[in-house]
Amino acid sequence: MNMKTDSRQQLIPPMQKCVKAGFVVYAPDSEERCIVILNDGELEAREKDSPHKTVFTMHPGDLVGVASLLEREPFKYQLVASRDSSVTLITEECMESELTRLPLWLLAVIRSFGSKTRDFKQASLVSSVQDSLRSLAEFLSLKESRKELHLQELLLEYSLLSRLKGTEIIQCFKGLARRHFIEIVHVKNEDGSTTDCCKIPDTRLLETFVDYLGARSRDQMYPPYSLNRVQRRIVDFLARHSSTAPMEGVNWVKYLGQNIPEATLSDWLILRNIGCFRDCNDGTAAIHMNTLAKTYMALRFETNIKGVL
Amino acid sequence: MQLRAEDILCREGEFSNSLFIVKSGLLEGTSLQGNQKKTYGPGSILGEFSLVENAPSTETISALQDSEVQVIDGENLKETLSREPTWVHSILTFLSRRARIAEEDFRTQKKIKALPALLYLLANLSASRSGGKIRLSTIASRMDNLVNLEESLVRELLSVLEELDILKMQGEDIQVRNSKVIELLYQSILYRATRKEASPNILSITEQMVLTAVIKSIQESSEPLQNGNFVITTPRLVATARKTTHGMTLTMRNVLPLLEKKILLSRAIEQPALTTPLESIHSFYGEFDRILDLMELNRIYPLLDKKLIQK
Repeated sequence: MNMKTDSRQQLIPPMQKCVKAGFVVYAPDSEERCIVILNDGELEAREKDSPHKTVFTMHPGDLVGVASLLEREPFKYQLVASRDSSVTLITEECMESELTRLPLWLLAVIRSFGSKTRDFKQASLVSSVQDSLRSLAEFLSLKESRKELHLQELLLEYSLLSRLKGTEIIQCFKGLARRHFIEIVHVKNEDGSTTDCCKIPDTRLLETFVDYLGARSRDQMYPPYSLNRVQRRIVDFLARHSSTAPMEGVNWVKYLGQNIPEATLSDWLILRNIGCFRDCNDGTAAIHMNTLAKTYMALRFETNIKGVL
Repeated sequence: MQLRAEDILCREGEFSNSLFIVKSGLLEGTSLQGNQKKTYGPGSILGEFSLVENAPSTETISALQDSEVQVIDGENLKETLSREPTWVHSILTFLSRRARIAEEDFRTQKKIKALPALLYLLANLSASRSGGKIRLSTIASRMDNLVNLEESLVRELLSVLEELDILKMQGEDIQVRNSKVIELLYQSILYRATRKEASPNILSITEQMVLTAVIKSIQESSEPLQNGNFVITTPRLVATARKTTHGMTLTMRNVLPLLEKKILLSRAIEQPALTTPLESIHSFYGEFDRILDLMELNRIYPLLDKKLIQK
């Protein structure tokens, strides 16, 4: 299409046609593509093969063939006049000559509608999962720890949930196995054959990994990895003394100071801010077991989580 | 139009009836419907639906840096189209409508595909929480991890499940009515997807009629359940079936599929077969809650697809 051509003289007008009932206005095998606008009468779009079932009926003002002409999508129906009708046919040449007259912004709008339609259709065919490793880790984090799970069944189940391709799913299983978040084991059956199974040592590790990947996707620092050396020592200490009874903040600082001399009020506040402590609504604070466990695991398995093994 | 960094070009939901073409700079689009941000650089066009259909803006567009934007408003479009043949307008409207339909189809597809993931999360999370209560934020965040479904679509899916009486939305909490039914529903969908056939838990009309008679018999019986298990004598079941089904005569043909699926168990000396006379079986027994859950599953299952498409 020559966009620089700007001549009203070159405009090829659309073809006006009056057709009798039964006339085939457009046949799918036709070499020429065109847009058909029904001005008056009635057209039927029929299947091209016998028994030529009617797919839809066109009424005055309706048009067909836009996608076929502008985007080369096949138009697979036969258009037959079911009553005496009057139609406008816009051929490729006519459309091209008209498009050259339109302002560029309007051409951009037409193109944008076309590309949006294509993008939506394309997107409907692919999985919506953006981070397959995070998705698989989330899926597996809800399974049971230390149980031998039939690998093939897991693959099928996850495939239904994620709609990812089998090869990509296998790569993700390998990715998690490489980080030692899961183990692939061969279980011997009674008949001597073996079955591949997936074993998850601790599902909380997968939850931690999901949290880490989530923070990374939001360009945020994953809180456990923002802790300094002293704060990490406190987490390690608390993980081994998690049954410590709730107490007031000042007493926590004192208690931590007795066990880790470098610990300060600021360290305790930072750990509280990342959720390792929860308020008990009576002026005291208690260890938040789940967050502490995840923080502890994040620090202990930092290299696995960051994938720098 | 010149924009300074952080200037807002249009707000989500407003009718601007304008097309914007980015000449220079960088704009950002954000929406309350999703947590993804889009950026628009030179050459990007925004607001085509707003211009052609006078539809409300789907995003709030702001400048990330000083930018220049060409604005084409509805009057420009009207004036341009008035100089062109009428079919140009028809084609433009057609293309815009087609893009809208493609977007709507995409959203519906996305929602339908995400349903198993939501059921998987609900079944697992509600079973592990006392009272079956889950925070909406928890589900939204986990759905984002699992299938990257935006919160607006998660809410739409949850409201489908609420209409089916599977759960109740209470502010920011989700109250699952029966986590076992969600688990059964998930397993039935998984079974159909992986084995390409209906799950044995999806019952025929006859099987459901027999189980309705079983439930009615138990409810009318004065005998208490033993550890949730019921026992019902064959004559009693036959009589109740006749009453609840307006005259249907219970035969071995009606009962056998339920025995084979082990939904009903029989006190028979030998393994029952089609030729076994029903009267030779003294009684039937089974787990009452399981039968109630299966009946609930069979109420929901046929409605699900229709509800998803309607929404």
